Amino acid sequence: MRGVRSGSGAWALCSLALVVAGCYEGVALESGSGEGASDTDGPSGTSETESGEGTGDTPMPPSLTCDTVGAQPLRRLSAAQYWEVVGGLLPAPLAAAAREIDAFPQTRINDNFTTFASANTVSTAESIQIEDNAEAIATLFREDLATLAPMLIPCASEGLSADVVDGCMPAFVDDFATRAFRRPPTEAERALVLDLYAGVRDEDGVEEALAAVLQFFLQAPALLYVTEPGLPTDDPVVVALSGHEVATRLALLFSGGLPDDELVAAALDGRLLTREGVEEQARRLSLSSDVSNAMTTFHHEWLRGFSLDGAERNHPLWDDETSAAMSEELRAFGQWFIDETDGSFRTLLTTESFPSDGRLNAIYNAGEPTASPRRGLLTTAAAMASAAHSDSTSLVERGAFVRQHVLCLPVPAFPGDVDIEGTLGDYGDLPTARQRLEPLMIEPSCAGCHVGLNPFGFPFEAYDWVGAHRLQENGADIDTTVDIDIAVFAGSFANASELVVALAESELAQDCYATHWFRYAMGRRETDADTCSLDEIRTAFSSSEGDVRELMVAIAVSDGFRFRNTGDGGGE
Amino acid sequence: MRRRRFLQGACGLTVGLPMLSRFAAEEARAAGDPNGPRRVITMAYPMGTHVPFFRPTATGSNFDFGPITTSMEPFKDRTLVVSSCPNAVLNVGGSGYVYGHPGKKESVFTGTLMRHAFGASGENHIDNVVEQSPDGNQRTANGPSVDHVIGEFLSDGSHLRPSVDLGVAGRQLADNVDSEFFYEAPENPVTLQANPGLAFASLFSGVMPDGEVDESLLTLQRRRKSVLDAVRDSFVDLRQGLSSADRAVLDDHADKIRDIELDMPPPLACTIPDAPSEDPEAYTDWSMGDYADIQIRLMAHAMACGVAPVGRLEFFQQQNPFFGIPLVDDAVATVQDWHHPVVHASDGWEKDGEVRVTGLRFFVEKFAQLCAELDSIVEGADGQTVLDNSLCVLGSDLGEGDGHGAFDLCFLIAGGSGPGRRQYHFDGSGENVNRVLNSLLQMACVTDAGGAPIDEFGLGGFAPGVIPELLA
Repeated sequence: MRGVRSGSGAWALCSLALVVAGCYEGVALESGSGEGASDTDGPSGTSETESGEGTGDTPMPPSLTCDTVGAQPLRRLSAAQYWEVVGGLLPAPLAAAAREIDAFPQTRINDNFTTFASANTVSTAESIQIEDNAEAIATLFREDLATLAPMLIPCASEGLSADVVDGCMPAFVDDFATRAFRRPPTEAERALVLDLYAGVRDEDGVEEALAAVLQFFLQAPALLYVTEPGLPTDDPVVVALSGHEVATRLALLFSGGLPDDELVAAALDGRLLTREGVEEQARRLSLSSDVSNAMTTFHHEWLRGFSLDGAERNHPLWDDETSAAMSEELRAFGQWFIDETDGSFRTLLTTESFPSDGRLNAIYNAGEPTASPRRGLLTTAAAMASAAHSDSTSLVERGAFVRQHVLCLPVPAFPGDVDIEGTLGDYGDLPTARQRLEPLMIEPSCAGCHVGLNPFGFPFEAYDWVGAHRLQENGADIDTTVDIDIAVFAGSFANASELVVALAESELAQDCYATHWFRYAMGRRETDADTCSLDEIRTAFSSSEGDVRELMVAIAVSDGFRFRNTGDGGGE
Repeated sequence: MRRRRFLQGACGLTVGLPMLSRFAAEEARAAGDPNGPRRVITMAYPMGTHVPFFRPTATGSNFDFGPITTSMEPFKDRTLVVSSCPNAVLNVGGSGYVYGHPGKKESVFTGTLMRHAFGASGENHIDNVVEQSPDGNQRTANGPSVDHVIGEFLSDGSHLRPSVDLGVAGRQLADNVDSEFFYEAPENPVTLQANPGLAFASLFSGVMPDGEVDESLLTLQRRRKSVLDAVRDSFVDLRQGLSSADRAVLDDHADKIRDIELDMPPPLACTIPDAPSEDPEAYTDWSMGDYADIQIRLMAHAMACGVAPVGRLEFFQQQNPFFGIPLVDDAVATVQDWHHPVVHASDGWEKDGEVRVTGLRFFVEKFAQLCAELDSIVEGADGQTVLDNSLCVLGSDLGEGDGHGAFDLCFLIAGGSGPGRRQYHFDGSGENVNRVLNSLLQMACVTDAGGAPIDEFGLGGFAPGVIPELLA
């Protein structure tokens, strides 16, 4: 089960009690142990007992191992994360109906991943969509209140009169807010929701008030944003993440949703303030079924599966279902990879087995048999079709992908609107893409880009623009051989199969893969300040023989993950 | 809580100034000017035009429209044509206009260069975008577009939403599309709704047919207001302990939550157009013309209903449109559904050829169609139409499409209100686009927080001042 359901688990046990009896810091902790005695999650207004003051417990946050960490911007949940969180909060029938509405704005990918902070800047239209989505779900709830309210608010099973509901609203708000915000609500937040309930109840009745409360939570900034005030450290611009903040990061990395019961318990008892405690939880999560969420999302986005949404290819093997099937193929590959293989980077790139999707059989079975097998994620039909034009391959785009996303080598940006036909001249009439584009590697105005891009694209020309295998283009044999001779990656390769094997064995590619996971986890690009954390992550990944689960654990225990550089010290 | 200040509008009268923004309290916004337009509607299309056929026959007030702009004839007395105007901001710091598309859509209504244009190299040119953008695709403008600024000025709390943003797909139905022309802030493009059914549902959910009272809608609006009040308040608490950059992100979102500090306006009562289907299957085989027709109708009625003070309509999927004009579509199909050679007048296409000119004329015809829709709706007791009280602008990223140049942009400015000149053709070859944008602000009577007319927009210090000839 992903997330935490209403009325169960550690949140429910603690949430009501914390406000009235100090449950928040009342877990078994040794005074001065440095483990979360004053896990002061949340913004201002946290009650005195919540903050630990007056209890004798002195917070002692962990210290950096590295000198510093990269600046971490505020992130808003991606659309996928939002729906995972909402799915963990709402009764199943309501969550399913809400998903059907799907009015939450889709996440724009500006740079690599949907988790990036830059993907979540809110435009006015998106702000309205967020509001409308919450309103639509609340209206669904309102329309079937008799059924749904007791599933969300236990006391509602006794009736929806003010006498009944008024009495249990404070407990419901505490419980629900604690789960939705991934931390206990502040006194101000709690009062805000109760005031909202009372105000709407007085004007339009209890039923409308319950809908209003749900509508609030579904668009509350504390739900939408991953705020991390953290705990002070010796470094004025670096904070250590609190237990709840670490729990949230772990949950979003591994499951993409709410922290599960064990994470919540670990946050409450301070274990997530230690590297060992984080490692224990990360390793547990890496072995759970929830990790498939990360595997599917990461690999779909790393391979730019989003570029297939609504894509059209002028090809006899392409029909209305193909783009969706290919997008799904990338997700399925990620899940299959973690469920059915050793979960290593080498397997990811070199496996000769693939998860099956009947909709793509015609593409995979097309073309002449060949001695060189199709290998790994980079040669899936989806990967090939995503880097292609509507009626031809794009060896430049494929080459750019390998350089940028597999080897983390620089790629010059496409210089706008190139006069392709004029540049190609007579070469433009040659039958194969290689023949047409190889001359650009010596043409002075083009060589600067094409010398670096073309070689990584040549081997993949054995796959056409929907990913079907081919031996010829326009009646001419396709030459997939290539000699690559750059300082960080060199070799002679007969085809894509040989190239991906070499990539799988390349330290550079392995490091690049780790870098992309770091970006996915942090929601930003790395900076110089992340060098120490990244070095540790890459070393751990390499030492594990490229085990992707171990890579995720290494990211989770890194300073970069457990600390936050606020940029200016935070506070007002 | 409602707060008002009173300032002098640029066009002469004292106007109320509602404070819409709690977190941007210093950002004063006037509620329009009674002598200016009530609304602004901007339409943008990609790939430019054929300038000799766009230009009227003469400058000044005595002119005939060119072959591409003849459809504006019914509105000639309320139209200002600006032709051949260089978008000179694209050449700031450089040694020539960058070739191709980069920066052009992003700059035409914002008057800015793009993100990364001011790179670490110290150069100050659009080429830096191409060289320094992390993945070559982060091409967004460095400032809001002029329509957004006008819209904020015209907002008076009576609208249901800040803007009406519609996309016109060239061929394939889409839902939410990032605008390339229109921006709310630096690097924050407007989101366009290109699915007519979803657009209708969003625009008219708070609008009632004339005379009806829907109690359930009123209840829903009360609930919305209470919830949004609480949401806004909860932003305040969440800011504690965050960095200034993070607080700015939260503040920006809080600012965008609609109409919270004003009383929620009652549902508007006006004529609601027929609802288009929300089912994507209903749009199979639709052409760009089909999409344009229905989006223009939604835009006109939404603006007439007062749904928002600013409307934006953008044509996209520029490279591969299905016009719905057999002459053009059949010809384009012969080059593998690739409109680009037609615009370029390459591959044997003639610059003055009927196919090319028909395709380019299409966009002006749709602008004229918008004007006609607006002009068919009477508002107020004096018989004035919605068009009379609107400022409508048509523009593109390029001038002459075949060279992809940006040194000869053409605009149509239509509507009856405000100090903008009408029935006039201005040859902009000695001017630049930024000063056209400055002039548009004054046509809408926009003032700064101190009540002074704004005469500089876009890249600071580049091209202050208006073009006097554009103002009556």
